[in-house]
Amino acid sequence: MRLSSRILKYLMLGLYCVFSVVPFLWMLSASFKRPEDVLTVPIHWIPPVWQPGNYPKALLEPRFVGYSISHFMLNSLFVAVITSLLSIGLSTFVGYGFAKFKFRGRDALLWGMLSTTLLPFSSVVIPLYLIIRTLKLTNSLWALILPFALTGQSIFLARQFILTIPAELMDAARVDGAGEFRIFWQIVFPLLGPAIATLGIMTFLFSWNLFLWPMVVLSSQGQFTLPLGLSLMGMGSTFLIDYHLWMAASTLAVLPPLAFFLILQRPYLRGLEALSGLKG
Amino acid sequence: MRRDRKYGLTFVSPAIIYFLLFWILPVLLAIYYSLTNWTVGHPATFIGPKNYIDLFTDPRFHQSVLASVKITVPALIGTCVLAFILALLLNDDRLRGRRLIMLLIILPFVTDWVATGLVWQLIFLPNVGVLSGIFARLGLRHWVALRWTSSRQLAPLAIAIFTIWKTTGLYTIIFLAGLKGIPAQQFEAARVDGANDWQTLFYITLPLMRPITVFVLVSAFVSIVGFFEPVFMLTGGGPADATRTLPIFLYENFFQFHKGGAASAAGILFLLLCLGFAVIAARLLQYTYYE
Repeated sequence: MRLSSRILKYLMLGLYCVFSVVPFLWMLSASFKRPEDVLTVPIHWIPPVWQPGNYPKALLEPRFVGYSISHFMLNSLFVAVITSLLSIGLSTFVGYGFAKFKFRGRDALLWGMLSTTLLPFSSVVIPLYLIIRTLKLTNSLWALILPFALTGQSIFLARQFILTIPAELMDAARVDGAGEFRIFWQIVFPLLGPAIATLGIMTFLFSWNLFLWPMVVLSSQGQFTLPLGLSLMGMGSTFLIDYHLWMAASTLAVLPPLAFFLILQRPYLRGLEALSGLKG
Repeated sequence: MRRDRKYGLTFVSPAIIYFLLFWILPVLLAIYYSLTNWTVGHPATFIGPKNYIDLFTDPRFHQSVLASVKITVPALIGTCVLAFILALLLNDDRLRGRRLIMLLIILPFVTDWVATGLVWQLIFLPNVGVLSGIFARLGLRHWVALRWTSSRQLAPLAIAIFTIWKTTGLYTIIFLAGLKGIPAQQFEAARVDGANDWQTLFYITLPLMRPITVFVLVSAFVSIVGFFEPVFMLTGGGPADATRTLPIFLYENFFQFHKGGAASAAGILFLLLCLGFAVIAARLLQYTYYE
């Protein structure tokens, strides 16, 4: 490749990366500022006076009828971890059934579920709310867990991974007299490390980032998850909103999923590719 | 075979329960309520398809379709065009720092709408916001006071920009996976025949990328038309009703105005629209699978 076209390539990619990252950098910078330094023209990218005390203040101050951001964070963590664990267990179990057994209606069922994965959440929020209301689960954290512990997406991902496991492994175990559940648990499941990592990170991020659904089903602030708590911060009754604390809280909200994503970036990207249907 | 059927159904049974409980049953419930005059807190009586008929003459519904179009079209075009270009640029094994660039591009997608939405609120503030600061530095004085989220003309664009920022990374990854799937011999053959970069792009890359591009367009459309959060975070549907998109319309009617029956009818229509496109996208997916 010619040098000039290589430079042009880097320039274009670099420009987009700036667009992508600048909001995060500005947020980080504002989170260390005094309130009067947050919104200034020209922008101070480096805080003129560093104020790291914004963080403990944003995290611990009980400004929401006695609850603090840390409380919301623990709720979010609970929901995301339980959903991920359930999803790993259930999706691999179901995915095994779809990948390794033949029965009538199997493919129709699978493609039906695959179609649901492409639906936006807002298009099912009213039906889903109606059933949760009927089950008397509103205002419970379980309402945030159960509908997402198994999804068309997670089933499909698990199936794609299990398809690659050779049938001879299972047949050999069958000859030795092992039951089907033992084969799944002792032979198939231990081979699913990469699938488990993918399911774990994708479900965790999905659950942690949920907003519309918790806003609809949760009514008492003690149950609120982090995105809900964060959105409350902007509705402060004070004339001057504490933008610096707001940005500190936002930074704290972005950090756990970001750290988790960086650790599991490969399984995550593999999962996105598998869902786009390009790696069978 | 009977053994296959027995164990297959056993393993799949949680999925069947899940599908019945969280898809079939809820949709049936919503269809039932859509045929009643139910308002939350009051008993429901059956009124037939009246809610659906009313919807077609409701100016607020028309307005929300219009608002959805105004935001979805620029957001969809921006996302897909940018994602495709970025994927073309990134599809080069000799490119240094490729991994890092990919991570930076996907960053907005893996973080949540609220935390990033708060930042974008402050970016779009007139006179004192980040964008104003950048315009001032660039000497674009008369752009400093633009009311991005509170003027009818700019608010849809502001939401589209936030959406493009948030979702381009996902589709870049998908396009990139598609590009990696093109056999290297195809490019080598073109080079041997003396094709330049542009000719390779137009005669090899673009035709081979057609199935995946159609899939991305359809699935990105469904996904973007259904976004609730970017509108909620930046404008809440305003100013007036300029950005009251279909998801916001549904949310307000059901959860704020408690018009259970009418909102369920609108919800069912919206679900059918999305389902139509989702099924098309899923079929395209199936196509790329067995090719």
